[in-house]
Amino acid sequence: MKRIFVYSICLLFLLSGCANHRIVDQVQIIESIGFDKEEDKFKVVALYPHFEEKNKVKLTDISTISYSYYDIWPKLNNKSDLPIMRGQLRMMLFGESFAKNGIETVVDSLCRDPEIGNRIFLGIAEKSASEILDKVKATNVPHYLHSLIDQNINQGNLPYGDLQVYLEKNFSKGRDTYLPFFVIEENRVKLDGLALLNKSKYITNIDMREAFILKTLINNGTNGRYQVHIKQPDGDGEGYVLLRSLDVKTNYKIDSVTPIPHVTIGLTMRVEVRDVPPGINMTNNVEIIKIEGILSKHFENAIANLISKLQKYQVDPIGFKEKIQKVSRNTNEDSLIKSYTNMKTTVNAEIKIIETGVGE
Amino acid sequence: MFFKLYDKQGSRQEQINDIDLLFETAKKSQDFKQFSLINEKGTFMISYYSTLINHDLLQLAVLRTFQEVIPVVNHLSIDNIKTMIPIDDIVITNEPHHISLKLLKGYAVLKEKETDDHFALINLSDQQIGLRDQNNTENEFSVVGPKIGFVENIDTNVHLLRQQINTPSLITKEISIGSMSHTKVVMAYIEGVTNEQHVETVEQRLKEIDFDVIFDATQLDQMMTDSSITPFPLFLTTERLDRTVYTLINGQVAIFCHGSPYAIIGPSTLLDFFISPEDYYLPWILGSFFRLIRILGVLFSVLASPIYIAVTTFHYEMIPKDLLGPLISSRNNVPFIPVLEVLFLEITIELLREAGARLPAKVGQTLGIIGGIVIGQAAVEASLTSNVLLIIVALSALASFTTPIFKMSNTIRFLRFPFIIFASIWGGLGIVLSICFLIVHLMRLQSLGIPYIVPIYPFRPKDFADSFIRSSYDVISKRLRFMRPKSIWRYHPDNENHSSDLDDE
Repeated sequence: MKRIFVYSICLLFLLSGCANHRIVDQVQIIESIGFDKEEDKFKVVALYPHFEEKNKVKLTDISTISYSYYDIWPKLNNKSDLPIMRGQLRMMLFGESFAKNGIETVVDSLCRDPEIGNRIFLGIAEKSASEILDKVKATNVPHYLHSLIDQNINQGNLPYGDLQVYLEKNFSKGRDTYLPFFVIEENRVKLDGLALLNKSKYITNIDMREAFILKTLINNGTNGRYQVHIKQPDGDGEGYVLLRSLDVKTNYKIDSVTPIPHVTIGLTMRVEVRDVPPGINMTNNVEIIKIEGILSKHFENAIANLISKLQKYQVDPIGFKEKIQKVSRNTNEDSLIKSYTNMKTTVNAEIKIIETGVGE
Repeated sequence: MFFKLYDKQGSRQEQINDIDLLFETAKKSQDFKQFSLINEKGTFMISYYSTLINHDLLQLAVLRTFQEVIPVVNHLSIDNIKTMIPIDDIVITNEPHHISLKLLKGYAVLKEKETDDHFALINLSDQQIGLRDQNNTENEFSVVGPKIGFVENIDTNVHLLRQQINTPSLITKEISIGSMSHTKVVMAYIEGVTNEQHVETVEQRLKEIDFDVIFDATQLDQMMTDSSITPFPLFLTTERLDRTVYTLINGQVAIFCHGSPYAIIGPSTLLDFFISPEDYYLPWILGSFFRLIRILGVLFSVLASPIYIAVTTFHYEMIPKDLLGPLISSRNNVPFIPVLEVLFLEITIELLREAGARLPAKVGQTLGIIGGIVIGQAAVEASLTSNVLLIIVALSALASFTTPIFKMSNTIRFLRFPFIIFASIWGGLGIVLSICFLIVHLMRLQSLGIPYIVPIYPFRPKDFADSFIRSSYDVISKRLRFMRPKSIWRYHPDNENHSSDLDDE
């Protein structure tokens, strides 16, 4: 019995051998990567941090041209003294022209790559990804874009979305995807709303205000900042109201499916008012109710506008197609798209001001 | 002759059957004294080892009696000498083996010259000579609670025990072990509490021991253990009185050995080794908290450096993004793979500990500072190890010393090394594999037939009250069931809430 035990231990070592060493300081850890279109090939730019001294980081870029996702890595390795490792990759950026042709080629390989985590963020860059990454490189902050998206999801107007969420929406029938959209403004990278995709093809983009509206419609839009221009009928107190959403509840009710679908959207948002124009007394209950009315009206319009915009571009990040399909048993995709573009909506927004503390 | 050297039976010292031969052998030693006490009634011969006896006692009780009392006595023989010498422990015997044993324990042998076959053995032994009487605990400290520890003198130890357990149910059984040393070994238990099975097992195992000289109780521990191929101590070894008393009232058996300031206690379970008497002196919430800290410290101590190896060698993916920078930049110039780095530091720490234990106390302290600060800092400066690892190894060494029992803290430091090797071969998988081996090994261990990791396996939910958490005294009024005590209640808890005294007025 003991002998068998000893033999089996020996076999364990002999048969399996040692695992591959990937010592943390002897690999090149890629942290973000960007894809651009160059004729029919990919132009790939990758950023990796270089820790020269204590507390000092230098971002370095490395680029190559290749035909497919899995081809990138050996090609990048040809240009690097240490093996390129992609396990810490947290940001993947696509240039506008690349995304217009569809990011499917990359994403399909991505979800079969065990080294890539499901929680990486994808993003679309205005013009080219390499330009954005160049600006990121200048900051010398590792995981800059990842942190940028992360803090805007938690503290700002960006709806949640990582690779996992992207794939879920991408592979479900009645929903379309959205990705953060980056532009360059005054030599810095700026998050400028969302890029809307249809079947992994980039269609159009919306700004941060609309992104917040979309966030309230998709997941609860806690912590969003939103500014509303108000003008009271009697002319007194014209200006901007800045509000922070504390708690949002959205519900969808499909009233009818055929011939034209009709959806009623109910939005209840509890907000904290930060800035009010002079002349409005926020300690007066009557005034608060008045402002609430104005805000509700504003949101009803904003949501209706956003939805008609989405309908116009035939993108469906909210998932109306799925909601309609659930009650209609209509599995035909073309007719679903048709009923989505013809869909009518009624929006009932109810804004409740529960805090009027001014300033942070 | 040649065969006798390798004959196993020859290891037992032959019994001395001839009394003359005994004296002849003894006379070769200079400290053996034999002289005649002559008076009118007869001639007596007294023999003793002068180094073993109390000389005051010899002069006052024996020699004086012979000078003053015996001359006026009419009839004198070896049989009624008992009535004349004012010492309680006098044995009349004619058995040579018995005489030789007693002679070497500090008895004086008295014989009447004509009647050779009867001897009086007079106890003149001085147990205190050469033994320390300071009985502060030396290695198991506590801030709160008594600081009484055991000493090398077994009588003092049993005395201390009897002082605290004031009942005739405390039974002590004496056994003599060691063919050369004839060491007095005492096993103590409480009748009506301890299961007879444990008592019988201990007694049987002690009697089966064949050894020449017993130096310490820990040797007995090794000789009567259930399994010798384990790094885990299967018997608790303690020098604290309160701890020993606590185990006795819970139905365990304590074994003392003359010349050793440690009691060994069985049957013991794994959790016993992480219990400090202080847990019972602090309020139960604090006691439980510190006990949990201690157990977490053990886990940290075993797993910290293997996890460092696994993560830096194989699993760079799981490093949080903010830790990546410090980890890489601290390892940047280190030329070794992580496992060599870890082994280098771990062995340095072991060397420091070993050197610190061997050196005189004052030098040891200096060495600790030099080793800890200078060597550590210099190793980092010279890029032999990384800063992060230095912290991890130092912390895990520190954590291993939180274990109250020294034997267990040794075990924990030893356990790290197989984990390190497995982690360096297979990374996280290796750690999991070695945890599996460890758990299987622990499940197979027994202490006096009691499973070692009870109450976890076999699962005994009722006995968890005093395991990871030291519950309040209302809850732990029952003895641990897995020890199979003869009576379950230690005391009856007062279930009624103590209402405020002010209400009664």
